[in-house]
Amino acid sequence: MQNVSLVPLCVLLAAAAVHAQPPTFSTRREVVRVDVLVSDDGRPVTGLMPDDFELRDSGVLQTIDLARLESIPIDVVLAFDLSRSVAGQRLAHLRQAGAAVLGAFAPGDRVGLLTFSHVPTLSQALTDDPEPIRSALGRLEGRGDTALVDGLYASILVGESDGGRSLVIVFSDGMDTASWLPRSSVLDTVRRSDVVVYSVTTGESRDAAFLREVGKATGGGSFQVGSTAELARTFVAIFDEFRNRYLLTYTPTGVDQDGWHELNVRVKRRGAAVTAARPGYFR
Amino acid sequence: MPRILRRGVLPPLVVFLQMSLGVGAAAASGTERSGAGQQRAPSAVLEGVESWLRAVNEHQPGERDAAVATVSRWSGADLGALLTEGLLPLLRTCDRPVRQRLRTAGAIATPRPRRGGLADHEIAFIRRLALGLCRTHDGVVRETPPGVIDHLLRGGAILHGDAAMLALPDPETGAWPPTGTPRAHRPAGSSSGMSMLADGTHTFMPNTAAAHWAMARILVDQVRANPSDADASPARDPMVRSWYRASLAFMAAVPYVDTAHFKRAEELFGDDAVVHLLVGSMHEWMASDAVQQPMDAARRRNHQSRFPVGSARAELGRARRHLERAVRLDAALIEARVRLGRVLGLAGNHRDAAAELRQAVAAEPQPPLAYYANLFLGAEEEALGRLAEAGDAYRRAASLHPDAPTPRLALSHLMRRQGNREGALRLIGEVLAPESEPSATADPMRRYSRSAGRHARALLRDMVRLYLEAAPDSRGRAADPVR
Repeated sequence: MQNVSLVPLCVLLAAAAVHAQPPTFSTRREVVRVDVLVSDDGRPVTGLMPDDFELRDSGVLQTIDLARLESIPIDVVLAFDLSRSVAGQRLAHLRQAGAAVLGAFAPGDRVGLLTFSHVPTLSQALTDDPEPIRSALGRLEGRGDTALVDGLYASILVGESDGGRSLVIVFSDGMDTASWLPRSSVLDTVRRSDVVVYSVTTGESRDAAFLREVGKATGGGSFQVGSTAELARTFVAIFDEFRNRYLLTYTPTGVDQDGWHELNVRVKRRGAAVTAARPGYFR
Repeated sequence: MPRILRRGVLPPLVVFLQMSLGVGAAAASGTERSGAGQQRAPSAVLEGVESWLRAVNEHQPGERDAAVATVSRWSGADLGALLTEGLLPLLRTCDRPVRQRLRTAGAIATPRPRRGGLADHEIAFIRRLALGLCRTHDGVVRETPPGVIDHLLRGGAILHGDAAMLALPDPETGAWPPTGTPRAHRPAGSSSGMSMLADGTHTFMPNTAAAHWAMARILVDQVRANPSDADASPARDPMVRSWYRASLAFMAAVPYVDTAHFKRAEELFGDDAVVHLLVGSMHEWMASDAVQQPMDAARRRNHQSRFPVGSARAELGRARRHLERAVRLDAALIEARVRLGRVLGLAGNHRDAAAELRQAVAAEPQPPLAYYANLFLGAEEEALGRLAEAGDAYRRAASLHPDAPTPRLALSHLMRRQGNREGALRLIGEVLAPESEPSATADPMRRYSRSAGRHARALLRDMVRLYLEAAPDSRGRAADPVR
């Protein structure tokens, strides 16, 4: 699997310059990004160079321009289910988990807080200042129904808004009862985005299955916790895993312009393997 | 409102209540039974019947008065005992034709009278009691002509309907009844009379409203409406029709599901477009994630038999059948067309869905139907790949409710699909901007699932008006119920 996205070249460069430019989406010269986790016996592998990877787009071998690790700041969107079922200790655990992510930050990282009940709300836009986020976490209050799919769509757009390296961590303790957007449509959006989505749920449901599919499609992952007391540890583990990913970039050659592009990434180094990346992308 | 008359009664709720609660449970009056499964003492029966008759006579429709408080304290077992041991023998005595109609009452089997019930002289006493309680605003009724009986039945249905409604959340505020208000328990193991309540937190909550609704259904089932007519039937009674419309609208507004209620409404008023619209809207809701997701959880816990809710596909099919019938019966009933379009789309039939919704939009319906029709049409046009038309429909919906997030969310997604990331981001930014949640009035989609019941209060008022207009005169002659 591999994690990929189509990003205009100027946007990618802007991301590398730590969000120096506002979002630009009109450039047609496209660079594909593949967010890849490489591990060996469960441990992240570091120190790999572009030549250590072999990447095929629709079966065609591509030339990797860049393989970077750790040096690119991360935009994290925390997308929290804040329906009325999130209250009391559950809400307290959610606040603690959000604060724990802040504790794992590195210089240049940014975090935003998006909540969803029957509608999504941006409680705090992306910022590198943890204080507004802490303040927003303190104001959280569960109410209303659950519009998880709508909330996920909104978090994807917020995550990709600056063209940086984006991670969305979705938490939901319930079932979607209020979304307007169909799951299939949002899954399509996800496949056209460069955002990596990890989800954390507390029980089995149609939405937990949907989030697993989203995680797989973005090269992210999904976790099911037995108790919200596990949220903080899980969030930090997700964040750490994401930071240890390689960001591969290449300009597609020899492949069709439109449609689904199946990706295949492998590591040439013995013992190492690609353990998370998106399986393809739409153009 | 003047005190008016009501009278005698019967029924088949008995089967439902007996099945689920056991026969001869605690007396309606609260007196003890002589033993498990045994009948109450005649005096207790008399007390129960008298209490019921007084409650029916004194109740002011729609009010949370002492009469409602009295019957609200009665459990399903109490109501069953009241019927089998008191009202049933009473009405069998005073109205012989009722017995025949019991056998053809429809969905529920005719209950057999219990042997060893009241003695003849006790029944006679109850009958006299009933006659004494049956009053109109201008006199005491000397006999119990059919019009008087019908009026008592209608009044009893109103009383128990009010008890059921007051045991459920307020459809406008969502507030539960005040603490201390009796909420009857849901009869365990019942299937035909199953009641399900999903309040948005994915919880099915037991309630006793089902027992009162069932009691009310049994009562209106005995209304004969123009008894001189060989085809006398509750289906010919305008108040009964109105009662079903109003009660269904109330259920849609909560929302509250009672499949036995739906079934009987359709049996009696299969020619009524409004009944089909309301029942169809409930099945549409039952097909939604708000019901299906908790049902999934219940099925995983092997509790599925308690809730007669079909799969989403099955419920959509039921909704479609009712809504198509509603449209055929009344082509001007735009809401039925809007919901039919929505249901067809959810079932994947986008072409027919779009055709229905285009007709609905062209009819220029009043709010909130115009908003719903345009939103749903946008979704169907989008599904058909007609993206420009979809955008037009979404924008029309947005213009009707500029503060509503749903049309902007839909437009954002449409733009994202068209590759316009900037436009998509700008619109989602507008959706995300408000720190405070938009109110339900800002976006009618928030209350779509219960909007079919938005006329419940008006329908209830209309039903009470018909009830009062049909009150017998001082001679016990009923107004002509078939108008």
